Amino acid sequence: MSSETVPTPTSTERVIDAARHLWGIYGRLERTARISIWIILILTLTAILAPLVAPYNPTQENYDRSLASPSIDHPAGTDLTGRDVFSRMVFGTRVSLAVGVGAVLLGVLIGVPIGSLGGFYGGWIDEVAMRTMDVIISFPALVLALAIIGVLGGSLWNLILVIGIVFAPQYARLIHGEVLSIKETEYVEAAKGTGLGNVGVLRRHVLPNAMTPVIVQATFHVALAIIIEASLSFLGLGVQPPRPTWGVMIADGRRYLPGEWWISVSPGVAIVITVLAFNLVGDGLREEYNPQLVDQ
Amino acid sequence: MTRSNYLLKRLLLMIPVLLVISMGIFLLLKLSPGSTVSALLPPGQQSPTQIERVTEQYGLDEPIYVQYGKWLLRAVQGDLGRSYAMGEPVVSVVLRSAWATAQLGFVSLVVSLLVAVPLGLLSATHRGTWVDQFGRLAAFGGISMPAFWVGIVIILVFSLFWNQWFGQSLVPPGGYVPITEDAVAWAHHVIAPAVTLGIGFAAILTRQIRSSMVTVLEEDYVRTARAKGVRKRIVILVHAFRNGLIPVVTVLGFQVGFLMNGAVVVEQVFEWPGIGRLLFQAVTTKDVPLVQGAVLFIAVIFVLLNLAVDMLYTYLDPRVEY
Repeated sequence: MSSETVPTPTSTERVIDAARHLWGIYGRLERTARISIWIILILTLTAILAPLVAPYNPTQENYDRSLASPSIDHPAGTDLTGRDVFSRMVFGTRVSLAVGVGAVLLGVLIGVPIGSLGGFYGGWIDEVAMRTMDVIISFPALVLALAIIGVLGGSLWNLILVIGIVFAPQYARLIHGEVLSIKETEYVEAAKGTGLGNVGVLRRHVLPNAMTPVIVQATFHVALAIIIEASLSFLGLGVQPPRPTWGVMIADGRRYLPGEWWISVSPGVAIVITVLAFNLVGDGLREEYNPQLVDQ
Repeated sequence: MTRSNYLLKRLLLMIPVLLVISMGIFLLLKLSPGSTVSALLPPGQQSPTQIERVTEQYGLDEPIYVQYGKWLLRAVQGDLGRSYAMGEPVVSVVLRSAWATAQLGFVSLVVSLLVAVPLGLLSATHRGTWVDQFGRLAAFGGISMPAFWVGIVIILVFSLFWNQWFGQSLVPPGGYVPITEDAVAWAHHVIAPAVTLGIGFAAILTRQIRSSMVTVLEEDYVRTARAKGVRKRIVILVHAFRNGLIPVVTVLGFQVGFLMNGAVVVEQVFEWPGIGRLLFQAVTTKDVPLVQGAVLFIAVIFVLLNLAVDMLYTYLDPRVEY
């Protein structure tokens, strides 16, 4: 049998291929999901370029303009110390997205190895680990986060840590189920037959095929993490002032209701837009990856 | 396996689950910054005799597993220590707050069902039309609004603005009246927080009812009933809905967690003296025994609810095998 050399794709070709694949997915998403992707892109750019987007310094006090109504100069008005509410919202995007994305990444990084190794090797350790995960999952996330953060104290990193840990079991359980079914498939048998070690089979053949539901879940979780972050910040247990966050802004603004309602209402609108965008993208991806759901 | 065997197995499985939870809650005490003694005693009461009493009571000079054993033994006897912020046994504080949360949770469950059942049914029967699309956006909108902000907006519009426009507010801006004292005032106070809490829940239920009804409406028995000449409305409400409810019940059980998440912030916004608010106050005052008590109580309720949902499931769908 003559050997044949299969040309290995160059890295440029790989990138082009991946981009074409992503563009294909984008094209098949339904309209609300596509619009949401653009909203998320704009929000991400806003977070990165916050100093350029915000018309004022978010922590700069200006007592001459204390509690000003929304106007051309201050689109969302000012708060008690004359800080521009809109600029603070722009900078608040940073905390929300950092916690949302950071916590989910951490959850995936903890949950996926536990769930996939457990599902691949099985045994009683796996059994115990998965039952423990079930317990944590059945627990209300905010209650758990509140109890832990109450002990650790609130900060940006603690929020990411706590929310990530609270999410991790869900990824473990999700990938566990996927790995269990994928490891029985013929292509995994074939991969083992080539002499590839267990870790290699798991990493190169099982995981890439098991990640789809994880990606869908992760998109929904970013939305949930942003709400949990805002809730904890609202309660005064999240990121501490003076760093502007949407939850803290809503809490501060309560004191000036109903006269200066914009201080509380505007950051809430920002939360709703952001969270809705992630939820709609998640829903679009779920339909894309699970065609049975499309016509439902 | 028979039904009673299954029930027994489920009850036995609760024991390891509750043990894991209790270990986690015990560790909260150990993880709190500062010494365990100061977590158990308020700063004003740390006299040598008091410290000695607590050390002896909790076995603080013994290895950690002995401490856990002592704590657990007291916990199963209903002794979770004293809340030092309230100066009362933790158990009585927790039970009182739980009653307030139960009322709020029940009313918001009713509110969500009133919204979700019609919206979910209409979305399923008008699949792909603007009704369906509206239902989808309404549901995602509901999930995407943080409960505490919705609460503030409701207070702003129906209480504060309403007062400016019409001279009196439609709902009070918060507070609690026991139902035994004045049922009308109770209803007046409970409606705004219940609606706030119910919005997210209704959104989840709507999606669930829609998707399970869509599946059920394609079943053969639905087509048979229609072919026999049964009216469409009767088929949907009588034949399909009961089967469509089965997956909804499961979600209902799991999503009580969602309701509890909301309760923490909504009770705070509306000053409703429930267990969510209690937990928050305990956390901010560093009242560790009270935090443990509240979390333990919520955990036990959760395990029991999941069990109840499983039981209900076998009743609703007799085909379920144990």
